[in-house]
Amino acid sequence: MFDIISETMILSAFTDMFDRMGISWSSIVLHLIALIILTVGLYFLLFKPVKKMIRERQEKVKKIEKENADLNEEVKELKSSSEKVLSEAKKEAAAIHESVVKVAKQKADDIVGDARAKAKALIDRTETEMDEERKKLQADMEKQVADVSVAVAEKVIGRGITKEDNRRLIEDCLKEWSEKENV
Amino acid sequence: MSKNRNIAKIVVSEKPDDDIVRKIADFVEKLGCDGVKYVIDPEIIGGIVIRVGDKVYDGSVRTRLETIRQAL
Repeated sequence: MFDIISETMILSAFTDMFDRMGISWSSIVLHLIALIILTVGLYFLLFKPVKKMIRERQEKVKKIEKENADLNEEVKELKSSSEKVLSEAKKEAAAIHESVVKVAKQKADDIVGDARAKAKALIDRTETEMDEERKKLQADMEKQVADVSVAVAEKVIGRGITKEDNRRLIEDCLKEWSEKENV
Repeated sequence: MSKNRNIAKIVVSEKPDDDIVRKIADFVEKLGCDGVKYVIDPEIIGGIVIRVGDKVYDGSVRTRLETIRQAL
């Protein structure tokens, strides 16, 4: 009861106020209908396309963000991969360097060993040749000494042998041969 | 003169006296030679070399010196 009275009183107050402002109920209803039509028109003609455009833009942004994230992930993977490759390359380079140094050292040792062997062979051969040369020289000297001694003896004997010496030599030979031949 | 005569070749450094010639003749006769041929060769210095057929009796001073030289 009280509510009906209150609503009636509120409605009456609004009617008085609209009347004083020169606004009729029909005008209000028409304005309301026009507002509803405008709202519905705006909703279909503007709000939906804008909403659709915003949704598409959001999807595009999400897509771009996803692509960006994928790219970041790919970059991270590439960086990790490149670091791994770099690390392996460094290890391989160190191994190659070590191997090369080892081979070079072995080669140097071989060369030094070979040179030492050749030097020793050369020294041995030289010593042998020197020894042979010394022996040959000694033999030559001995032969020359013998030749000179005999030559000197020939001269001395040739000058010093007398007729009597020669006679005695011949007699001794004849005696020796006679005994030997038993004649 | 027979073709088969056995001649001894005697090499001396100088002409020997008669006594030596006789002794040489006796020696070669005992070896079966019926003649001698003397050759004077001062190169042998002294002594005597007798060649009878293929056999050689060498008592020369040169040969003795050569033996000494070989020994040296």
